[in-house]
Amino acid sequence: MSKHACELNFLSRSDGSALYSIGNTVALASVNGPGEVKKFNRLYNRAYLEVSYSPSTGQSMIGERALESVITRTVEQVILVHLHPRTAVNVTIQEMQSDGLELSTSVNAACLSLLDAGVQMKSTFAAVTCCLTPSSTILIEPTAAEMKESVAVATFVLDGQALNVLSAHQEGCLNAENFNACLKACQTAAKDVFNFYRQALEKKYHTCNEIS
Amino acid sequence: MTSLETWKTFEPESYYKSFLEKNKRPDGRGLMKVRPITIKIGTVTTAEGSSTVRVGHTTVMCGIKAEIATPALRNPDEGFIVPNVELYPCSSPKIKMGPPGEKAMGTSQFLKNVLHSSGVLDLKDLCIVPNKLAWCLYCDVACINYDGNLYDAALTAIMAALQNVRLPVVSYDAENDKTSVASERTLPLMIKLMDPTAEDESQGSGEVVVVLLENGSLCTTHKPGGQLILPNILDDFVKLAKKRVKVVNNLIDRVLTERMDTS
Repeated sequence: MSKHACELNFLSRSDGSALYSIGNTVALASVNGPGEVKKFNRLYNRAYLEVSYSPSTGQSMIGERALESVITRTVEQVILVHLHPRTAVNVTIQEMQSDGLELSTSVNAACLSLLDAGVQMKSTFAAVTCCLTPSSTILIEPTAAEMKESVAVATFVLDGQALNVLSAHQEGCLNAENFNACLKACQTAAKDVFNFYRQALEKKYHTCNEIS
Repeated sequence: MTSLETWKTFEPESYYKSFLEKNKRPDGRGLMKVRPITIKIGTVTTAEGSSTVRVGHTTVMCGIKAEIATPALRNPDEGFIVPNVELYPCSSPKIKMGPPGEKAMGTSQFLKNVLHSSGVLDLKDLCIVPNKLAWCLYCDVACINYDGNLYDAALTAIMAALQNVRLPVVSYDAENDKTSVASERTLPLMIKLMDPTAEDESQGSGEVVVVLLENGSLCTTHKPGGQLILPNILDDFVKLAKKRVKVVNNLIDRVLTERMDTS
């Protein structure tokens, strides 16, 4: 597994933020809300969730918009939207550096920034990317170069309670056997990610105690 | 407004739930029953390849235009395939005029992902002269009537249209740097048959799309958020998809052979 690193409360003006890196991929997520909502997005029974993703270079294209919608629909299921009707939760993700793991890094950054902002959630969630090499070994959190050589790349977003699948995204061909092997590998790796979350949050609240 | 409509408007969740408990949908269809699918090929005569697919009420047209382009420097021996999905405002009251929405963009990206990762079409086949000329296939998918399951309809349409593509023979004269296109001779694309299949629950809170190749290997799984599912349920989806593969594929084959016979 690549090295995970995270800094919580990176931005001073947003309600919650996290700078998260997996290997050489770095993403910065910031959360504002639940707060004011635009009139046409106002929902009578739940909070509206808006995720915007901007790449490190260039403009947001179809690929980024598709990424955005995957993240939106993942986060939407996890946060308790019905607790804050007629409000909006804004999640902004800025890609800082890219090495192939944009999806998993930004999902993890979003989770930690939501935790940092104190938005109520059903459970935490973590994304793990893996790839299948031509010699059919599974690499967890590959680099962009390794992905290019691989047969297929799969990303799973798993929930923190039972490691169930929240989202799945796959590029390239996998047979059912390999698919399940990838899922297993990602589930095992996700446990380490959740431990890392715990450490990051413990660190945050530990320093808080010292100040008070 | 009848009381049933009132119920549907104000309490949509309990309305659907009452049907689902009886293993039915509001239109009387069973939960595991798929809608009838019809495929027509060659519906747009000005395009190089085209098809119209209906899945229930969802109607999707796909036209493939071929243009000659210069290959990218990175891949000098490869052509291009550019899928683009458009949802017209006439397709659903939820869709407005203007730049493509999230649904259209998401589907475009999904199609691109499927076409590239399945290896349906070898991009090298689209190359005419390395570094000089290559075909660029613009696959425009237009949704005329949107009634759910766009992934399935769009992918079926694009696959049917791709198999219908006839490209003119291009000859290139290296000495004079001249290109000539013979209009009368046509050559079909070599398409490795692939089976577009999708399981999609448009009314529900989650959706899963499984795309399988004919040999049964998973080409794309796409589950953008939605309800939590257990890994073994994914297997069930794959099984369902496998059944669907045969149906759709046989249908495309039949339509293709019918067209071959007539022309």
